[in-house]
Amino acid sequence: MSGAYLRLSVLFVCLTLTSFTSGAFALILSEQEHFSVQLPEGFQIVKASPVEDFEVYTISKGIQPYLYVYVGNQPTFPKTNPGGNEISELEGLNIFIRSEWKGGELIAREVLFKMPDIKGWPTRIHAWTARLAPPQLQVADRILFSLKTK
Amino acid sequence: VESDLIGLAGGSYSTYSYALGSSGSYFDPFRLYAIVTVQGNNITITLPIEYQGPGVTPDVINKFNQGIQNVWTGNFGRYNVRTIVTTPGASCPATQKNTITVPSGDGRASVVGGNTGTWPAERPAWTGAHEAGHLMGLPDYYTDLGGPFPGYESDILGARGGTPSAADIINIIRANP
Repeated sequence: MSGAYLRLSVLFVCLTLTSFTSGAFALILSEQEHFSVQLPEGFQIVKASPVEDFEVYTISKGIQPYLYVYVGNQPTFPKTNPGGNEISELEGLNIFIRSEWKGGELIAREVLFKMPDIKGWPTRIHAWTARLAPPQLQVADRILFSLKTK
Repeated sequence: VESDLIGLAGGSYSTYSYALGSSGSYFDPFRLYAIVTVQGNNITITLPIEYQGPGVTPDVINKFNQGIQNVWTGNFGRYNVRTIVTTPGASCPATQKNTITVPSGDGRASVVGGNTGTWPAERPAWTGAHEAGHLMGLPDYYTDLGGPFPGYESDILGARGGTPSAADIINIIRANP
């Protein structure tokens, strides 16, 4: 557990440093009811509620979705099926990160945040990247790792 | 383990991860409490539910219980399913029943963990049926753009007003061995 936690921490530090030192885009804090996320300029976030006990947010630029966020109690996690691709998983106390790789290149990533059951609703936030070309996926990944639960 | 339960060819939806109780799953499988009896294609699901809270009345209990039984009883694919909601006895331990708190008025319904939840008194019967799916171990079915995954467009766990599917029944059997 401690090894995985350490690796998770290192991953967070690396991604955070990459996100904030790139200077490639200005970030705008988007505050939602149960989480916040930092979006580059030109991105928007739209909420849908297919059933009353969960919500799905779509983060996109124009018509191109980059990241999706489920808010509820019963996520389908993991969402992706590797289909022969490599999968790496990291688990912390309240977070589970699953990454899909092909030939050493990141294909998709999803993160499950666990909040205490005593919260009632929501107790889980599940965020996953869209299927994107590598430059866009890098942006989606930065947005994903800026997500903070409330 | 067959993961492609309803022919999701071309999709990337994991239909088995939660049933296997992976470390990232949303519930503690030991906290689920539904009794599932399988005899060929005949499935009987018994769901003991205790209601508590200021919104509990005989009419509210009847609404939710009838809603669950009506929606989760019928022919789903090759399965002939009968679902019965029972009232646990006073001495029944918390681990062998589902406990639902019913606030007065309206609000958001939810299930937490495996066998507890909050269902406001004014929620419709269908809401109880959707939440009962969670008590039986099913997740929400959702996909990109907030819509249900292909194959789940009219499923009770993915779309408002939806109904159970054969895949739901298979996953309930797996989640409640």
